[in-house]
Amino acid sequence: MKNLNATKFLAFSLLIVLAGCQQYSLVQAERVSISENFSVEPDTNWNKRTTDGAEIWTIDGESLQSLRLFKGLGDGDTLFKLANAERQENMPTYSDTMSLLEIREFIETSLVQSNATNVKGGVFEPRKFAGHDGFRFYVTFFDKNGLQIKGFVEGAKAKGKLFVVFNYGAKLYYYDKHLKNVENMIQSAQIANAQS
Amino acid sequence: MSGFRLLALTGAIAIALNGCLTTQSGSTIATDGDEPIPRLTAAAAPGARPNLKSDEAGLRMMYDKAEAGMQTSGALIRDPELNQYISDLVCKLAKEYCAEIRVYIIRAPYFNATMGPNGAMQVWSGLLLRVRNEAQLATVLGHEIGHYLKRHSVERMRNVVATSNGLAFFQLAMAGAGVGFIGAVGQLVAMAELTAYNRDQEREADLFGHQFLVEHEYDPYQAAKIWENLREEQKADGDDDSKSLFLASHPLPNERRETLDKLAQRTDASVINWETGQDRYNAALRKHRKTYLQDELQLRRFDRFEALLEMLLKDGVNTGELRFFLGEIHRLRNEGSDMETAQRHYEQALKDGGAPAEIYRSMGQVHQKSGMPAKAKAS
Repeated sequence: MKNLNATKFLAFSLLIVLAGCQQYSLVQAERVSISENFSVEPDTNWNKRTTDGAEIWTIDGESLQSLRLFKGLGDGDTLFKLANAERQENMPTYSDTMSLLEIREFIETSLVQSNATNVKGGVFEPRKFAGHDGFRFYVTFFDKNGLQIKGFVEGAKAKGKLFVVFNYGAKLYYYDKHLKNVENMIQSAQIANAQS
Repeated sequence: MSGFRLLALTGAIAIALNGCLTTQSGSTIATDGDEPIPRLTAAAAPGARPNLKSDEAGLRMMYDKAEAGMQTSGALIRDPELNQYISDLVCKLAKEYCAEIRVYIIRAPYFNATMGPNGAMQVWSGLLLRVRNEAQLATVLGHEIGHYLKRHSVERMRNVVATSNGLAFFQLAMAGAGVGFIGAVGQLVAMAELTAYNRDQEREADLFGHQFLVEHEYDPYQAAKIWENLREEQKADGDDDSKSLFLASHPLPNERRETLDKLAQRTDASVINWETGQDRYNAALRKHRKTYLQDELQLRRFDRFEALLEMLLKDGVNTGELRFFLGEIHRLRNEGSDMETAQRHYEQALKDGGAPAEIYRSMGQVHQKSGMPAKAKAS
């Protein structure tokens, strides 16, 4: 009886621990819809979890390497949703009237509000994204654990929304490790029924 | 990491004054009245180490772990000149305790400084932006050194453990050791509250700060001005004191200002050549200020930042740079007549000189928003 109780206790404890885990699922190498209008086709398998407004994909683990695919930001949307109420209140909101420079400021400031430090914008260049006139800019920062992160944000405005992907990883090794897969996926991005 | 601030702060001041001041025993430190201002000494001799089996040694070990994290943090400002300037000032104040103190300048846009019981001192960039001269910086550093010299964090730990919440104290301390520099602000505030010094400890630390100022012939009235300015900034956006990391563990600014003002008044007659060291401070901060201002802007606490900029403008140092950031506040807020106000600030910034090159890009954006594409292109 004593053993049975101990087993029940362990099982219950495990349940509680697992309940706190992030829910990941497998993304297979085939066309995947991120939102109603936005889809990509990865060339390898990824792990993903879904948040409010974006999917977060990773191969090596989020803290080392991540790809955020935003479902399409509309007027008043914030890039990230934070638990800290004060920081969320100060999070900048997207507006469809933003210029490309303002979009860059919007993203950089959002990173700062989400606890990134030493955020430095790099090359900012026009680029086609899913067939639409868009942009890519590079960024480096340190995460809350002091890890130096390198990444880029690429996207375009379409159908009154901002579609962006944010690829980032530890500057040492992990950013470059799956870069080719990320570039291939971005090449495959499609924004359906959208007028640029 | 910022959660360590309180613990760290407690120790630093006590070290600096050892050997040069008479000992004030007892818990009540008089800072007003007619009796002479007491002079304090450190709780331990320079280089003294606690017994390895003691609770103090355990506390130090936790901070050693945290310090190892500081040394590799991306938030660490490594500029050799700025580090030398602040380390020199700390050594000037701490004297024979200098070798025990390591200074880490942290890029974080909040008013904060900490001092660990192991001698690891943090000075945050938001504090550097807000103190206006060397005397004010010496006040804060001296206060932190005072806590260290008097081993206030050890006293506090023992008191907490002996009364009610010893487990929570250690849990927070251990958790804090693994937190990034400004990662878990809420956790740091919680820790600050748990480890808050009592009123006598704060008075003692203030008194140390005051003594440092007088000893090195800094203007003692500068100590109170720090708190006066901080209060002005808080009032601008209706902030309450509890939101400040630093203030979560310290007496309120008004009380602090009054106490320090009284100390300065009582010292007035004995000081011959006061100085603020403003030129030296401005020179040390000159090439960093724009970065720290940009960090403040990105916090988007616009009203508070505007109040800070208005105060800095009174010093007249590179006003073009300050007016550019005033313009940036209005451009980013973009409510009502903000665009017109932004444009006025940009124009004044160009007249003043010293505005960063980004001003032309910002003016272009304002013109674009205001329906003036030709002017936008010209910018």
